[in-house]
Amino acid sequence: MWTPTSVELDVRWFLVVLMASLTYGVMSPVVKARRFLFLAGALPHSALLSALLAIVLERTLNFPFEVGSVILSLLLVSMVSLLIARGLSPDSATAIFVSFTVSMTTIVLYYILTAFPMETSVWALIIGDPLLVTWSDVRFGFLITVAVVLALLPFLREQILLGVDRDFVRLSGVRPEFYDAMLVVAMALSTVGLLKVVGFVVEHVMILLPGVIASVYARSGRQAVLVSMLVSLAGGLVGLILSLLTGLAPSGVIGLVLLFAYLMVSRR
Amino acid sequence: MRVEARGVTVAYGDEVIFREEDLLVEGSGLYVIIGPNGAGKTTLFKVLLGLIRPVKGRVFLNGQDVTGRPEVAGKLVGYVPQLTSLDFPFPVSVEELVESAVALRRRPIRLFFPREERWRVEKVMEEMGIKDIADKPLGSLSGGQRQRALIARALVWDPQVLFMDEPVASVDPRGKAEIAERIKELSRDRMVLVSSHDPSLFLDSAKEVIVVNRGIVAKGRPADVMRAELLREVYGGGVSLVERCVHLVDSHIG
Repeated sequence: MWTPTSVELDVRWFLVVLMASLTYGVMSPVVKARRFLFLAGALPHSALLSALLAIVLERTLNFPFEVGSVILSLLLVSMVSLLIARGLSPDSATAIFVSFTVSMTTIVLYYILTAFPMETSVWALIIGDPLLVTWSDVRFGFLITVAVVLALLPFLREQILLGVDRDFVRLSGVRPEFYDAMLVVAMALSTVGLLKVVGFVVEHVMILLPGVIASVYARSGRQAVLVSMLVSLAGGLVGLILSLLTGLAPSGVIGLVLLFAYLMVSRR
Repeated sequence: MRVEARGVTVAYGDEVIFREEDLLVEGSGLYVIIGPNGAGKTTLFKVLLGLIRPVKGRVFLNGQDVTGRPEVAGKLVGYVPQLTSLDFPFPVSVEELVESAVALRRRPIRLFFPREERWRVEKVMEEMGIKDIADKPLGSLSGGQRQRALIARALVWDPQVLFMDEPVASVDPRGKAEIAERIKELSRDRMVLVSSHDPSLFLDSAKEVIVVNRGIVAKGRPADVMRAELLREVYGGGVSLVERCVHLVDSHIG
């Protein structure tokens, strides 16, 4: 029987949770400031579909899972960008995107479950489990974290101000299209790259809540980014430790910790 | 100081807002752009600033072609957008907003500002009376305080041309008078173009009035342009605003 003392701690669990927390901690305030919440909520759907299609590619063509899932995720997200560029409103484009990815996910999931005996891997994508990660997952997660942080952290000011006054930012010589694309790519990479760690279900919470909490609590953009990163890191670590102590699903506990933090802050 | 539009046509899809319009504004002073809601005042500003590319025609600022090139126009002018067009979904402090005028031009981002740029930011915040609220988030401020922060941001580089879109909208009456006085002061040594649905606050100091209603209807000295029949035609007649403006011109200017 499982008891807290029977757990042998593994540094990989903490590494992947720290990487996921850092990635979403940096991304979440940008998502909030840019009002990309709807798209951010939709991206885990495309990440799951990309990962499932990558499993099919891996099983049938021996194509590397990580590479396949990233490429497919970028292709799917470029579909939204294309729809928006063709004049569709971001909300309508996202609605079409979600309808497509959710339907396709069901079809591909059904195919995988019947064609390949891989139920465990599929469940790991849906509910996520940092306790099952391999060193290969850690390396992949590290690359994703570095890419996302480098794509967003040096340009936080531009990203946040684009959400406040796009015209002024354009007059200052900044090209918004470049920052829009960078944000969408960063969101796509983080959702697909950390899917195994956080899981499809809790990814929504990790992307959205730190930024929302920060926007309630902070008085400036700088403060908000700092708060978001701290909340995300603290939520990730506290959630992981609590899950080890209670034997509950880590990503679920992390989600609840963040929700609790939001409820505390929103009472202010 | 010269703002010029030559044969500009602007359309949103099939809807034509301006058709082959010309405009020339030259020299320092206060230029008031008036017109009813939906007349195209904001569109005109955006075309002149390069933010909207006209279907036809060219726009020049101080002789430089800025048609569809906001990055060029931004180096020559200061811009105060309409307050209602802005949204503050995320906390941005007054100081962050003002210093963004400097920071956005200095990419890649640097952590520290040179002393001269820091001084510019401090100076305009002092001048606009917002230094004591520098650390407050914009979302928590009154309309007047937000407007002063936006004007401060536009003044950081001390531009010789200022575009101000409805600078007294969403501001309480006392704040309106204070901001209008500040704008008049600014227009003494630079060109200030102010669009306003309610121009009565600016008419006594206006060098020229430009009447816009899906085209440039009239342009000239207030006494020549602010005629009751023209304003009734533009605003639809029977509007108290028209009566007020005409009375103002008669009593103070005409």
